[in-house]
Amino acid sequence: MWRYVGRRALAIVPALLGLSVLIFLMVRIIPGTVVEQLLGDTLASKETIEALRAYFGLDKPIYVQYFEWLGRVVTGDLGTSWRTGKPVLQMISDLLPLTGELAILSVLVSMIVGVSLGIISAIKQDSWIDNVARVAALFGLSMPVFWQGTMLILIFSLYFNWMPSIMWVPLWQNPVENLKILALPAICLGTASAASVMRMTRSCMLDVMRQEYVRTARAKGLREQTVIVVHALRNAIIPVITVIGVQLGYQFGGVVVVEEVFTLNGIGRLVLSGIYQRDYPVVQGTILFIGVIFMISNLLVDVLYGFFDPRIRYGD
Amino acid sequence: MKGWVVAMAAVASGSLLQACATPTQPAATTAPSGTKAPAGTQAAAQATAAPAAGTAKKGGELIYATSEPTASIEPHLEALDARTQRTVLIYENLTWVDFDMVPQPQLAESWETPDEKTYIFKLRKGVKFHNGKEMDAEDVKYSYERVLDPNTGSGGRGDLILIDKIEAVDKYTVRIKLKAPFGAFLAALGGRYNAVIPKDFIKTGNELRTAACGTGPFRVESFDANDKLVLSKFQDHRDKDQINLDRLIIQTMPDESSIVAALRSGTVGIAKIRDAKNYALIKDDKRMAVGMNPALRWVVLDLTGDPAPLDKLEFRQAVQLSLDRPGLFQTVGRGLGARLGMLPQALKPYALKVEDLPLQNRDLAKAKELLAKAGYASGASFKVRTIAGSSLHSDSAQFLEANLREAGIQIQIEAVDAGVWGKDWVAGTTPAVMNDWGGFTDPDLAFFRHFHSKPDGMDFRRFKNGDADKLLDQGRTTLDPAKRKPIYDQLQKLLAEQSITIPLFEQPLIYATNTWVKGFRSHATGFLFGLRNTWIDK
Repeated sequence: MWRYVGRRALAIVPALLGLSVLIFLMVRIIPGTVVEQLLGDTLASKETIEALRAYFGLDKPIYVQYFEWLGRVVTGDLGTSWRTGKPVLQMISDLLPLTGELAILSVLVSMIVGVSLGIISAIKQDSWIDNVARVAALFGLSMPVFWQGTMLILIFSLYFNWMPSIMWVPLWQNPVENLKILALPAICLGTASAASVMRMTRSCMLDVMRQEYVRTARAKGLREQTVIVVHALRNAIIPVITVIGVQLGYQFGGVVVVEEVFTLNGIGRLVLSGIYQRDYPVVQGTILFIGVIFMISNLLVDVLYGFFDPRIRYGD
Repeated sequence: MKGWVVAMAAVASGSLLQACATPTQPAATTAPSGTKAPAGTQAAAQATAAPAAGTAKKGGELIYATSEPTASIEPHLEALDARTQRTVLIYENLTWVDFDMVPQPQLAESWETPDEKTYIFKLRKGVKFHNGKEMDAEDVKYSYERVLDPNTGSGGRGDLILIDKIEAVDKYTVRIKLKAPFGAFLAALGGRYNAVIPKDFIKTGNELRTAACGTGPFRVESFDANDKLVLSKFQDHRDKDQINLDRLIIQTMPDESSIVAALRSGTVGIAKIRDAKNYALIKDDKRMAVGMNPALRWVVLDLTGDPAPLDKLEFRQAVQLSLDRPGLFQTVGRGLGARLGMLPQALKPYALKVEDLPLQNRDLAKAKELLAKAGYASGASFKVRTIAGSSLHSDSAQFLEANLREAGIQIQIEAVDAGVWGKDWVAGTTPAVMNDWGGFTDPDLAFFRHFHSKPDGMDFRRFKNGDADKLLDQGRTTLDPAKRKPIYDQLQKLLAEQSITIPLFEQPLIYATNTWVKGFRSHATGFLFGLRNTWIDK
């Protein structure tokens, strides 16, 4: 298994190289640079503009800029933000607890809501509960996250005169306050992905429950609860884990909108502001970081497969 | 117009309800040659920033929310308005432009102008930086020389470009020699980039991006780019008795619905509202006072001096005469703000009224006549660029497109990224654009850069008009405000006649304050001078 993990980990390297080229070029396709952003439309001489371009290294050929950046990245240096003067890695690590916690909480919400609704829907196939759950899932899939977030905020402030604090409190300092802050965003982000988890759970459960071993289990006189949880769910859950695992990676990228709506200063907002401000080191570093998280979470899912289903053997 | 008057009356009555005293502004002016500015007017001027009911209570923490983020708080480098809005609470300049748009002493106590090109500033004694060091003439010299240094890359260099030499005469005296007389010099010194910082404070260039060391009423506790700026009262400030809050948090909330929710729940005490829809949502909420205030910001259709058909004066005039500006103000502007001539009314006493300017009202018959005169009797078309994502731009452009079509003029609306818009604008290669601009506290600062031909100005619109250049030069080198006024009157009339820029309506500054927040006063630039004396009553 370890050889398999090693091979998969090595495969991440070319993927990251490709990603690095893509980010590097894409951020430069956006018209305007940090120099124009800094100077605005003020009276700036050509010398001032040239001096600033040289200061940020923008006067060098693009491939030189790329290899210089890549050279630093492989040593673990993601560069320094052009706008704040802070190391990008430090900026990411400062914001990681918030975004990481939000991503994990939202995956938990999507697991709890999606898996339980999926099971109920499968057991009560074609009943009114199933129909309601399926319509709710469709609704969840088609409802934009920003709209859902705005609605949640408006409903809570308008009818309950309540809004979570806008002052971030880390989990280890005040867990209750921390969860209050993250509850609405996690629900918002979680319910959106719960819909796909629910649909996947439902179809896998239906598939498994038609298998002969489930019929045999029932024929042996096992309690329905045991049949569902021990025999059906255990097998049905494996593809669902894939969906959930991939979602953890997606959530890191998908928090951008939720962080904007709920005023959470996380990695999503860092990328967005980096793009607005043409802060290339921030955009490149942060997207690369999200790419790494995405690939690692995919790798973990593959490894977990073997844990949940011992029949799966890795080619070692 | 009526809506604006009513709104202004409501704001005025709101501030009267809160007012215990609204002292008259001291009349320090751009001191004519050989005169002295009144000493010690600054404290008096700033004291007027607090028209509030009862005695101001001391202490407490206030959260101010805005949807405008800033990446850094570097006073000499960061170009965003959002930065200056915040940093006027942290830094001070030699002068500041007060609530009536009159330059007043700030770190300077007084000034003399022995000749038209020399200013001698007497500094306040005992002013402390946040690091405890006393501010002196060397700090002033260092700060303004840093802004002027091309290697610094400060956008404020243009404001100070006429400075020839800065001398620290003694510890509390600074002499500034200009290359030519500059009527807006005192306003320029009070501009967004010209904060005084301690000499030799900058070592790597990054020191002031996320931290600060000024002389202002608040010191920085922490700053998270795009999130919040946490300020605490500077206990050694000379006006410490008038600074009421212990702590002030300026919170960036990108989604304005969240700001509205936070205001309603009381989490946020005061907020700036930019979206007219949100204004409509809260204007009658009993828990808060929502005020519309005059602002130095206006929405414009900017034309260009070329290519055809815009190179023909008659064509540009026909465009101007085809526009239904009151209709646009009521629909796109939702009646919030006011119509304007060439300058917003906040820039009194220079702004001419609409009725004093030519070609301000819709006249389709005359427009068609001018089109024929320009050789476009059968119609013509041109491109109008908008910034993608700006509903203000796209809605205005669509409204104007319908107006112009009635006169036989077609426009192609092209929405581009803000980066493309800005790049071509600065390079002087822009097509006609929808624009919203402002923030200038003097007509020279508003007009010179925009309309003077190159290399002295930027002439973004390729106007190249010798008469305008002459007036701009005269306005710049005339120091007496009474003599400057007719020059800028003439210039406004010329710009309206030439139809190179067509102001559509001015936007207001909308602030919503919970009823327990007192003493806030809006400054037309949007800079938060008014938070200096704000207090909490709960």
